[in-house]
Amino acid sequence: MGFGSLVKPDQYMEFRYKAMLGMKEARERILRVEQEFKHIFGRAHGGLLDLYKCADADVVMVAAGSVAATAMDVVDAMREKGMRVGLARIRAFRPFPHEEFRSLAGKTEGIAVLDRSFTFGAAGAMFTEVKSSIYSCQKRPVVKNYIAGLGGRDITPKILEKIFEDMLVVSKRGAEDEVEWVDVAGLPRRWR
Amino acid sequence: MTKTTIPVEEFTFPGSTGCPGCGANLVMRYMLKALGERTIVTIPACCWAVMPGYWPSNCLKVPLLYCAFEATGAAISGLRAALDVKGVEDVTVVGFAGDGGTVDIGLQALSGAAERRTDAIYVMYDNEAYMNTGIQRSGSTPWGAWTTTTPVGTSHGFKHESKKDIMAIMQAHKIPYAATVSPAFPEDFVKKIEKAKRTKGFKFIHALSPCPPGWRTNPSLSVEVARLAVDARVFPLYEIDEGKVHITRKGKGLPIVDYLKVQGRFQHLTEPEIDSMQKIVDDNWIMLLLKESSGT
Repeated sequence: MGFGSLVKPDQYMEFRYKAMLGMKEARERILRVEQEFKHIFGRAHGGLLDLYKCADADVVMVAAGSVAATAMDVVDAMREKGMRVGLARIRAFRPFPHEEFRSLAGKTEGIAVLDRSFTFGAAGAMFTEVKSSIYSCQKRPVVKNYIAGLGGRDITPKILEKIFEDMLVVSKRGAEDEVEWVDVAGLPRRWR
Repeated sequence: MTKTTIPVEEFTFPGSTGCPGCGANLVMRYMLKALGERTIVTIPACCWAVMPGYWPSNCLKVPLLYCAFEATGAAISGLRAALDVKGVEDVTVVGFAGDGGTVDIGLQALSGAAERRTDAIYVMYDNEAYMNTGIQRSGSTPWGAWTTTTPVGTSHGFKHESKKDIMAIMQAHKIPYAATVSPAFPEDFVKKIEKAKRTKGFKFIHALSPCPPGWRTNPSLSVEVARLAVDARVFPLYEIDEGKVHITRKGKGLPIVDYLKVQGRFQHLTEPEIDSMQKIVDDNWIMLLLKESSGT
């Protein structure tokens, strides 16, 4: 057995096809392992997409990594003020949680994708994935991309709250700019 | 029939895509005979990255992990750490890299693994150039050799820089065991690998690996060329055991021209140039004898 061996062009398609099948299987494997973990330790972490207070949310923020923990607190604070917001935390980028996003699309009016990355000439990396996920849905919520926190710049609870507030408005009338840069010096909108 | 001490069992099967007369095939074969089945071999970019066969084939009986050119030292460190976590103690981790992937591109990862005393064996099979990509000079190409990047016939001609002394570099890391081996002396070869396997910590093996296409030699003479390298003391067989140098085979002390004349890569050398090579070989040999007698 060799891991990472040379593959000739006449076998390469078949090799990649097998890798694709493996990645397909990874989805089920991740979910199964999560169940095993839950069985042993009594807690679970949300599979490929961890949904936090999304069931009745008017708008949902999509985030990943440490900023998602901050966003959870913001969701709690805003709900206390009567705003129905939720958080969807991406835990696996490949395989991407397409099915989870499709089922989320029918339950919310707006999705705010918070990307800490930007692919020049396009948009944030997660934003394009989320949009393509829900394209085939009958009911498609408004999706807007917020670019923030590049280079480790702080994304404060205040900024997250403003993103939620913006999304609550945008979800009703549509987004003028599909992609917005957050907290950039010299831009008109104030975030801090 | 003379009885040998070399294990009978084979771990290399037919199907290697190596060239006819490839010395590296023999190096892998004898190494695995000495180490046995409970071995994982890490291979960076080098001839042996191709020689096991294209996916999904593999002519070796042991598992292989292919890694990036510069990463052999890091890959064996990771494998060892993973085995330790799993509590697997009876598996030998081997890094199996060419000379370019060792003395040039892989040197920092090798140095790191040695400094951390990673419990693994690093084998450098030395064909004295980047042979897999078309005979480009490496830091291990000897002075005087023709390669495609040190072409003869231009104003500069052959390689004018000397070969890096990787054994001295490894000795400076104060590793528990280092040795030179040759496919022409398989008994000595296997004994040293077995000793490396028994020794805890980082072990380094320098194997001379004749390359018919790169050295411009007759493929049927590979073992002979390897023997001449030892007998002409171009490649002395010795070990450095806990810092102590021990020469395991003194060789016949043949003139270097005997070694050079069977190789096309040295055909351009003039008599004075061969004389100056002889002097370097003689000086190195005296230095090695001194190291042995002084116990360093």
